[in-house]
Amino acid sequence: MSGDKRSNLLLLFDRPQEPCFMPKGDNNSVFDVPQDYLPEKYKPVGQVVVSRFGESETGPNPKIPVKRISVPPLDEIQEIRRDENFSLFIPKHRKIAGRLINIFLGVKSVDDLLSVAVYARDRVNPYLFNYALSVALLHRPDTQNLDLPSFIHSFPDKFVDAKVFSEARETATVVPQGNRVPIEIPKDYTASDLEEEHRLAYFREDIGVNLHHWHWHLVYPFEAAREVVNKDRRGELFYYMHQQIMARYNFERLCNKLKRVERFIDWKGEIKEAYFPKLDSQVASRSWPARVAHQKLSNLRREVDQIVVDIDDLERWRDRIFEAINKGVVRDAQGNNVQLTEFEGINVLGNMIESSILSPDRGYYGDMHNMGHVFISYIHDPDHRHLESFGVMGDSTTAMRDPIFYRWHGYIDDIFQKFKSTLPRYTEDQLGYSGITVDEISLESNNAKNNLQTLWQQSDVDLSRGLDFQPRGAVFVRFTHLQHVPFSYNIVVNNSTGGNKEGTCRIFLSPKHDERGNPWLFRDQRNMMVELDKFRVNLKQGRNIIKRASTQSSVTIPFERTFRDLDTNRPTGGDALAQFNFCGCGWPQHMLIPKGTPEGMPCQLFVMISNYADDRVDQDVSGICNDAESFCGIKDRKYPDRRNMGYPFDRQPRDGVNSLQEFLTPNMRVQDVTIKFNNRVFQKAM
Amino acid sequence: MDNAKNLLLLFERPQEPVFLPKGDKKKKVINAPTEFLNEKHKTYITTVVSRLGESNETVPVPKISIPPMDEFLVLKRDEAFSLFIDKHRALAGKLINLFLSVKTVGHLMAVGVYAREHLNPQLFSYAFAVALRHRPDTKDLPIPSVVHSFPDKFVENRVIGRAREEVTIVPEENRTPIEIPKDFTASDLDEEHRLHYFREDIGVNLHHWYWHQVYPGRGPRQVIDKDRRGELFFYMHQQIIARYNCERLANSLKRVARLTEWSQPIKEAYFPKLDRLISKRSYAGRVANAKLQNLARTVDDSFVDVQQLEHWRDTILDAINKGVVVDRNNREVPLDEFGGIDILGNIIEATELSINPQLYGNLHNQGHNMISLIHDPDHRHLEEPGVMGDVATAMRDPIFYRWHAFIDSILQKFKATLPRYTEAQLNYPGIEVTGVEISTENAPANTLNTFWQKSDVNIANGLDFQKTGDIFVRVTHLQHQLFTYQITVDNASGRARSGTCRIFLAPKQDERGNPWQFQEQRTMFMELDKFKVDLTPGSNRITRMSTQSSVTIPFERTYRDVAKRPTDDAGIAEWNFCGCGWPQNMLVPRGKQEGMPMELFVMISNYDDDRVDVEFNGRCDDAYSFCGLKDRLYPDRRSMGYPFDRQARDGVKTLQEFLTPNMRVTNVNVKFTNRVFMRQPK
Repeated sequence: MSGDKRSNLLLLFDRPQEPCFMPKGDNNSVFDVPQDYLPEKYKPVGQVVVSRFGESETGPNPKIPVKRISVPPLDEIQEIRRDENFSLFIPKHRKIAGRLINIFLGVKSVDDLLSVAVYARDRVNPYLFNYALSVALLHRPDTQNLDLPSFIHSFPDKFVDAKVFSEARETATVVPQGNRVPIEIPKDYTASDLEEEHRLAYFREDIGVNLHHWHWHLVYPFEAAREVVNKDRRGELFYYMHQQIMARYNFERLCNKLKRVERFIDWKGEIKEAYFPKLDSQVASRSWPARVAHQKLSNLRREVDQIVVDIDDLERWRDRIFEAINKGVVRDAQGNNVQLTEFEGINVLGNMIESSILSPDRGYYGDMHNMGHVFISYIHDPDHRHLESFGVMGDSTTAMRDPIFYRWHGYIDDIFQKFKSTLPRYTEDQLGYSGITVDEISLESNNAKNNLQTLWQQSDVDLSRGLDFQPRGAVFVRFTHLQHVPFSYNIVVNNSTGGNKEGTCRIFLSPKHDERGNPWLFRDQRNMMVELDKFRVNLKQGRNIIKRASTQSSVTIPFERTFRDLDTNRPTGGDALAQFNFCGCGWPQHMLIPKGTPEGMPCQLFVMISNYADDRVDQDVSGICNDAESFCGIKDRKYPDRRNMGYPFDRQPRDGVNSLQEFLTPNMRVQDVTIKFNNRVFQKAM
Repeated sequence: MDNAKNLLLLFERPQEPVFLPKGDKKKKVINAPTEFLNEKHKTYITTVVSRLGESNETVPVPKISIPPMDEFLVLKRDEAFSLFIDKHRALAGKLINLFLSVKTVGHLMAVGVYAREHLNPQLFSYAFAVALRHRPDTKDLPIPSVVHSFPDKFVENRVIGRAREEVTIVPEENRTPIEIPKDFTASDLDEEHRLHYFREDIGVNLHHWYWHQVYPGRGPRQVIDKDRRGELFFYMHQQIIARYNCERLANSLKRVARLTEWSQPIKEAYFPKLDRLISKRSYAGRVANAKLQNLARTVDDSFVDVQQLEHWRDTILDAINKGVVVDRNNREVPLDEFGGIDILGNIIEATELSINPQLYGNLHNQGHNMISLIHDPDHRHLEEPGVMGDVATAMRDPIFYRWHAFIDSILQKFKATLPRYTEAQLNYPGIEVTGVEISTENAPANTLNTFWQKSDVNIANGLDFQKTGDIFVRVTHLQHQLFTYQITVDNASGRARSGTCRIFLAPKQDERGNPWQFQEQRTMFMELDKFKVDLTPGSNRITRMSTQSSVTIPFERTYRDVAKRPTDDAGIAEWNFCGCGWPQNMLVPRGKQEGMPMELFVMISNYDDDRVDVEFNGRCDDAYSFCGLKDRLYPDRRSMGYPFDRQARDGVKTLQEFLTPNMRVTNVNVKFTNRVFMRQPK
């Protein structure tokens, strides 16, 4: 890489609480911190500590020069203390984050950025620093190809059982490298089977799922400089990515004999779901607060976060949003009317409901989705009298662990669906592709046809980069996650148009039956459709056989990418390095297929070939972060599908269509498949 | 004795493998046979030990056959240990027994090493400490304060995090203490938070922990069956409530409301912000308006309904009203004037000494359990108890006082059935207290001055798996200016007499600012001191220092750190004491900035009626009012709390009317200065 210099920036993500003058990375590099850059508390002992960490057993540590430049004042940024938890949902925090991002974006050169970042790192809140620097690196032209280490390496405490850290401390201190064995995280540590909701723990607490959610919000911040926020169709993607999470979650619920999630609609009633995260914040040295059963939201009066908001406010925002949907018109901050159009409307609504700075009028439509998170996360201490921090719902890295996340997003999604119901239905013309028929589809894995197989798998992640104030050396944690046997799609398409054609192949999966075991009505099943893949196909005349591997999915990123590390396995150059150069956003590959049931869960696989002429977006997308495009878009490019996201299932069906069968046009096909779950744990083959 | 002292090394850094260096400056290495080690530790002992080098002093461990300990393994190493949970108490009782039955100190070292390697660290530390305290060959060992082994029970988690940072980065000589903010658990929006300095005082919680270590509820008979332990359970907790209520009045809060409505929401919330270093599970917070639930926790064998609690309460009240309890053989045993309270204390607490556990149940302990598990009554969320489930942390929670006020009210109901003290039982003919005064340097007479003080405590021994060296945390706590009592007593009996001087303090007014009815004020009296006086004929002048109090232990003892103990014989004897006792810094209630009017009560009772033939030998005898005397009888024959433990005789409505000539009351003013002073190192 042209910049060893640039990759020095990445060392700032290592051991986020240890000061810059302590060794970083695999070769124990130390930043040569100018004396006046040292944080106040270390200035009196500056010489002592700097020389203390200047060398290790093998000799002097490599020094990374840090240019002394004048640094913008950080007083405002430091209003979030170092030992607080940081939340993007709290307006005060996101404003401060926005400022810090702007400081990092405004610095002229990479060298200067390093100086400012070194100065800031040991002064500002470590989570805030990590977030702001990540966003800045992703968006600066001179750093955007740097590949950020997975968040889990800096802050493993947000993803794994707190217990691991006392064991990790023991391992790192007393166990010689050669004797270390991975620390096992039990599969069920947050609750037991007495709690029905716990059946979904493998989904909610999956490390990859939570990393995806965090990364998505890193790529699509809702508050920062306009050029960072204003990405193509971000509001619509907010809707669609979360709609798909809901579809997947409901799918998993049916696999576990639970009803689809109930929307959280009664904001003054009790929330029956309890959740005890059993995570510890290493930075705040506080455990994540739990929510006991039957709690109620309260009006928030938290001066410390500058949050004063009533449940009534939330209700007012909701009512204004519904009014806008019903009228098909929103008002902007200047009082002008803006139509909610067939294609753009959903994007406007997405920004309005989330909300982002792109909202037509944040004052009027408020901050509905974000504040819902805040209300729930402060349910245990709404006026800060107990000096408590927010629960897991207050942090996008942890929110998906809590059952209430899905009830809240079930509610949010329902608003979007209300809007979608007002749109014209897709006509047969808009769905069909004349001359193209899908004749046959099947799945193949391990010689089994139309039978997907799922299982538990154990994998190891090295967490040592997040273990501050402990000796060096790899410390692996072994966790258990869902996995499926890789499979491939075989799709036979007949092209009778008489010419070569292009199409977009859209693949979805849904349970075949509802909670009662009855076949679905289309209007319900469409919300259950989980996108598995979407890709462009060339269709020659006559019969075409399309083969596609499950690992090529447009929603997922490979396992290794989810957990990628700074140094380990990093190729040294050439094509391999380019390959490694990707984004971390994307649904984890191991969660592509829902769990299914031991007896085999009947599902329906849906395949459609749409007309590429109506799908195409003209742009060059070679080689840049494009393999989870359905959920994450493409970095710095337009969303690569002109249709509304979720097409063809994003709207109510045309008149007369009650079932999926009736919905089909010749360019679509449905195949019954089963998902069979093998309740055994397999080690990941290294 | 030197060998015996090595046993204390086993309290250090409870989670580390036993073979890592221990002792001051980490010079001692316990040379444990490999067979004694935890499987996990065996794999790397050789590498680690060779890394340590030769410069250390080796502590030998004899390779003997170890009694089976499998039954103790049901409590996993990273589980929370609670003395309120029957299953845990039973395990602790058996383990204490096992340690007591080991023949020699050398063998005890071996058994201790094995147990420490395999058993739950808190279970081990507790049982081992109780055993050392009760074995003839180890009973004088200075057991280190629990705050050093388990600082996580006493200081907020953030401090531990900062300590790790400080230890890693800053060389020992450059370190500065880590300050614990005074208000870390809540803010003034929460009225109950005004009392945090009392509830969260490290010394207060240490006292409670030690009291329960000296008076375990379960274990070998010789350990639990101590003189008047049931009565002391009543009295020590009654005094805690009296002190707490006085602090409440000083903070413009009403006396604590008993927790009597067990199916109603509990309005007090509490968020302890403590983290268990071992299990990395925090002590759960309790949100406002939580309700007690029936417990059905297979993991702890805890199955008890709220109804069951009500039934036990009713059965006990039934016995009180009838004046008779029924023992295990269905024989009636009267609750008599002196022994009745002891029987009831054991029944209610409840200990193994309960006269009929089947009938009277386990009221006090199960109350603690039900409250501490309110957030996860059926263990579906795999949660551990909150602070109420641990004697080292229970006093932090406002609900502790509501629960104990309820417990106390039952025992007061019994006291109300007893014959009133007659004038003859109170008076000491010929003896008159003619003057009582408190003198404090540079202050008007009868003024007590209180203020905040900062002190440093070393927590290095609790930081497992961390580089060594001292690391101090700085706590802010209540303190008062030293003072003396000046008491003049006229002895008109014409001969030398002995008496017991009993000193109490109570607020002068109730919540409304009205003078007290005696029946109310009597439960507000805090014992400050009690000591024997010899009275010559004529006028006697008694001078007594506040630091001599029979309820407190000195500050240094509360926080004592074995590594800092003196090395000469005299010093060691000085050092040789128990940790049980009210912390000296909390002797005087906070009072108010404008001054809080209080009444100081002094009585000289007839020593002939007080005397117990017991020797004070300077060992563990300076907080005897709360803790008794180690291995000896309680040194006062009167019922504990005398003369305020019963209703007043007919016609007595006020304290003034209650007085006989051998008593006297003086108005004192407790003045609080809201400033922080640094403690001067001695």
